[in-house]
Amino acid sequence: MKSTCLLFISLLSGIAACQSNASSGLTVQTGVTEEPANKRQVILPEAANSYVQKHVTGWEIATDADYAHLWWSFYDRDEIPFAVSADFNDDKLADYAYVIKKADSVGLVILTGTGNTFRHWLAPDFKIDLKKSGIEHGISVVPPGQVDVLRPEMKSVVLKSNGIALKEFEMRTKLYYWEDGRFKVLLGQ
Amino acid sequence: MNKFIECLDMRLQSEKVRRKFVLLSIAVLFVVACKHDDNSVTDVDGNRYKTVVIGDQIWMAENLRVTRYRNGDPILNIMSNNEWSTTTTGAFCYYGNDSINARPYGLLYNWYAINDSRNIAPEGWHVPTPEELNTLINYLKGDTVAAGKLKETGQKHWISNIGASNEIGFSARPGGYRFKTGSFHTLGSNGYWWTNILSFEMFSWSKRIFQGFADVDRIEAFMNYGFSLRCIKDKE
Repeated sequence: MKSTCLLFISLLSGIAACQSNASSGLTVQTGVTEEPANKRQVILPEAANSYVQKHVTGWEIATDADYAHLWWSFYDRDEIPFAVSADFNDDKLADYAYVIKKADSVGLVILTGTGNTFRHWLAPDFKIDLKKSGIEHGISVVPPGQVDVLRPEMKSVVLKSNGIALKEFEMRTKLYYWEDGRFKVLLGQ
Repeated sequence: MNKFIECLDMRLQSEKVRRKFVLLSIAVLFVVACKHDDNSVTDVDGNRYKTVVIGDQIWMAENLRVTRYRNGDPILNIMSNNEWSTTTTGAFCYYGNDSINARPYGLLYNWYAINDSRNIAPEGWHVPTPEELNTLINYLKGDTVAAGKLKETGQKHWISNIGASNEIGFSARPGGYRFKTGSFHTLGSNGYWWTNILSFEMFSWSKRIFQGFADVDRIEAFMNYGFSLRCIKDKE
């Protein structure tokens, strides 16, 4: 008898809950609230950092402190100018690009995820002297779309997956993108 | 084993127990049916979608995966790249032509399907307009943070996920897109959705919502791009 009563109570509660929702005339779906992922951890995972240390010999990922004072007068300190992450080669795995440095040089490396480790591609056309004042180049992700370059000559490229823009302050100087199974570079502004 | 079955049979024959079972079944069925009515919308194929209230709008909380217009006419499933690039009629595809992507990411539709007067949206729903998208973005305090609030959290469907909080339950997933020539790109990384004339986009690497990668008023070639679709409920 007791359990039958409990069942009746459950049934009535169910009906009451339904009526309460229905009377609002709205459909309600509660969202999952989580703290957004920390950007620095997402684009600078320990595995990528270790990979660079082990496999990109002689180079290390730049840090905030390596950047010129002038850089930080243009950009917010929350920005991370030396690291980006997206899928650059359209294989549904996270890839990373880093501005890297050694004693007197600045370069760029792209790490493509393989599932459990990375492969890397050291940009052959970008190796500049590290100025005493600090690094003056940053990178950002460029989503798919048409990119036009006016100088030194007019050129257009249609990015089908995410690319990487290399900028000297505000000026985009190179665009790295994946096409035909390899990374290519579009030069110019 | 036989003893167990005999025992079970005896118990089930008991009038009291049977009554409890009937009551319990009614309660469960009632609650389940009620929940479905309130928190979902069903398309002409019978696919059921969660919905989400955002301000005074109600959006689907999943990407559309219908294969027929509202009147039951089929939408063409075009697999061939050549056909996809030249068609001027409504078409859909599975990302990579692989139907396994339908449930988690929905289908990709060309603009002709979006614009077809037979209506791709379920009864009582429609394809959002840019104005309705802007209402959503304004409600979320602007385009610089809106995608963070709309993106599903975690890395089950996003390869990485900067700024995602999904705080209103929109649960945006990156279904990638089909290029006008028929090739597929950016599943798991970028999400593209249609409004009635242009697209809006969310990326794994940003909490900003972008608009206008495709604008069919500006360039007709975008009509042959394949994007996801989230419908919005008609205002009463």
